[in-house]
Amino acid sequence: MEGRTRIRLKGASDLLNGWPEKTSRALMVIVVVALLLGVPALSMTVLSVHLNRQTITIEPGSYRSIHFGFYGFGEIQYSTSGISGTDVHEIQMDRINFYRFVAGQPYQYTSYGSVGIGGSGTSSEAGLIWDEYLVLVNDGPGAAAVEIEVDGRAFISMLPTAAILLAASAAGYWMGRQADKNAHLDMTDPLVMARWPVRKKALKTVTVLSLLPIGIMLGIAAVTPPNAPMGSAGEIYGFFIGLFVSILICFRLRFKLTKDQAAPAPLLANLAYRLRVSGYRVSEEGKRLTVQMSSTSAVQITTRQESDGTWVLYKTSATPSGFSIIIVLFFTFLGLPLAFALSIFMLYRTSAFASTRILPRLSQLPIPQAPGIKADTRMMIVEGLSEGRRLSSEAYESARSNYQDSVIIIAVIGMVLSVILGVLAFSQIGSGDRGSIALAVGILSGAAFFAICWYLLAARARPQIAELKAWAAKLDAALSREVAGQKPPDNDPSSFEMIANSFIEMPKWLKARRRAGGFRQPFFWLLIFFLSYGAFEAGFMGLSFWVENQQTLGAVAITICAVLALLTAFFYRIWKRRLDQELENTLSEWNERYKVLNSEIERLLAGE
Amino acid sequence: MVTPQPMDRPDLYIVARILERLWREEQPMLKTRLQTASNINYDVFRRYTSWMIDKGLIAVETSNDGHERLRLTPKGDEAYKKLVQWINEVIHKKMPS
Repeated sequence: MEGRTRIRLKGASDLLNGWPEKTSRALMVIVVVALLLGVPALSMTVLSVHLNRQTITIEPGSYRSIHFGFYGFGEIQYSTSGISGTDVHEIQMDRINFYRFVAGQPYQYTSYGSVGIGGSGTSSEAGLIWDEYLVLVNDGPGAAAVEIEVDGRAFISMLPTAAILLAASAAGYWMGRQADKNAHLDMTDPLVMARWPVRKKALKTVTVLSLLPIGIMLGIAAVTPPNAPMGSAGEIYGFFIGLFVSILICFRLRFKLTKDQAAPAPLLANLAYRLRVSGYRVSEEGKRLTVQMSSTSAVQITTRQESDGTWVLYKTSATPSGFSIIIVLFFTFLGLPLAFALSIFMLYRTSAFASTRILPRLSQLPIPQAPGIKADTRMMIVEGLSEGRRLSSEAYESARSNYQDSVIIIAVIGMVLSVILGVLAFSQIGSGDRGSIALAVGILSGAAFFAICWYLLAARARPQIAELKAWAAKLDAALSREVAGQKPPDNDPSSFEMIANSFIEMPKWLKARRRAGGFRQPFFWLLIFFLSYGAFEAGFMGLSFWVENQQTLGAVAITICAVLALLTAFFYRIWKRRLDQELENTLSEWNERYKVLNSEIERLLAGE
Repeated sequence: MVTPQPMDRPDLYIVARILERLWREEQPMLKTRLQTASNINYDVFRRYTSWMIDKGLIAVETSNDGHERLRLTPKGDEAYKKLVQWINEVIHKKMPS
């Protein structure tokens, strides 16, 4: 007879086992596919408006309206022709002005026309279309009959995008609950139970933040006077202001996680140790921990002491790469919705991380230590290896990112060179097939420049990247071994040697991080980026004007290009000087510490 | 048996390697096993263990089977901890205390 299998229910502490967890890649793939396929499909079906050619009658002093709520990219085409009765006015306006129109208040329109008997007209517009109304008004004495055909098509809309993202959040929440069921977690364990309120709060926040841009947009549109200069564009700007505010809120909100009886300092120190043991990169700055969850997401953990305990708080953050992506998307304006989606995703991910990874680790405070000094020493070894691993990994990522940036810059310069040489060749060659020759000159010169520069760059940068990668891998392996309580193999260096050697390597790592300094001073980096981009644009325009024999305009554009280029160089020098100074200070401080350490060790070995 | 030559200036890494190997063991280690685990040649090993015994960092025990084994003394344990602590503090941007 087969016996029933007894399943042991797991408490929160069981969640601690294992190395860093990965996010559900399957869910991510599903969300991306749903966004790529679902957004256009839903936009074109649910939000599109079609009216076959038909005749409508509008009573005197009355109107008929057709609503296009696209909230994204689309196109509207319609044609009207007057059949009988009086003239009909065609007015296009946004939602708020439509409400004003209906209420008999002053309103503003985006386009106006009229259709008389026997007259006809067509209208077509495409691009960013928000909430638009086509209103046919009959203010004549008799009824009017108008033949109308409308084809309004939304291609990519914010509404299905938000719906899919919300559905994905809900699916993530549900999958988490299912995973808990499958993991046979003890649902009576207070820490297991505490996870869901944290996630629910995050889901509610995500919902509110998703609706906030629309609320801000409507609010701005409602308070904007009808004669404001921006007209209906104000609504679009309002939406983007809403997105910006929502992104800021995402990174400003601080959530309560749990209350603990330990004092703030040991609580954070023990938590940092536990997270490091699990392989997370943790940096401590004052009374704040920053834990890196992925290459883009991070979480900040702080505490607040009260009379009956210490609140552990968490806040969404990002790595320098994550912030750079958001800032670049933000400045492209049309990429702002993507920046918002990324911020919302980070917020939800942070709450998931806080509830499933941080909360269980708080349950084991204080760290159980074996009697004597061995546990202390092991703890310090883990901390030392973890810090070395963090710095070497950051140096490796910085060096790699720097290399990739340089390759992109070389590619851009190659393309510019290609265009300039192609245009020069085209203007200098007199033969009939000068187009083909100019094209060949441009492409070959650009490709040759790119290939040679890339080869030289790779020859210089790759050995350093490989060395940094090897260091990060070695320290990662040593940390894994130490955490597992294993001894290093006989030929391998000891953990102490690994820490001591990594200490010697640190100046190199700091230099590697400094070279990718843009990520640590995003203001200067962005300023230089946009100034140089402006210089490039102005220069390109200047050349175009010059080629088209518009010398005055060309001279103005080239002057602007020169001014922007000078400003770029000026700010680059300030930026570089700051980074050099910062590196110099760090290295001199490091040297000082190294000298003191050496003398202390020598005294110890001398038996003093 | 030839007495190993005295050392003027011991190499920190070798001292730390021997201390760490002994620190990881619950029981005293056979000399040959410790030498292999520390990846040091025999002469160097003898010089260092002799120096460390003189300093009271490690101690020799003769077991029932007649083999000599080395173990970490409380002073050695404390010394290893101190080395790790110092380097750890320096890495975490503090001066060694």
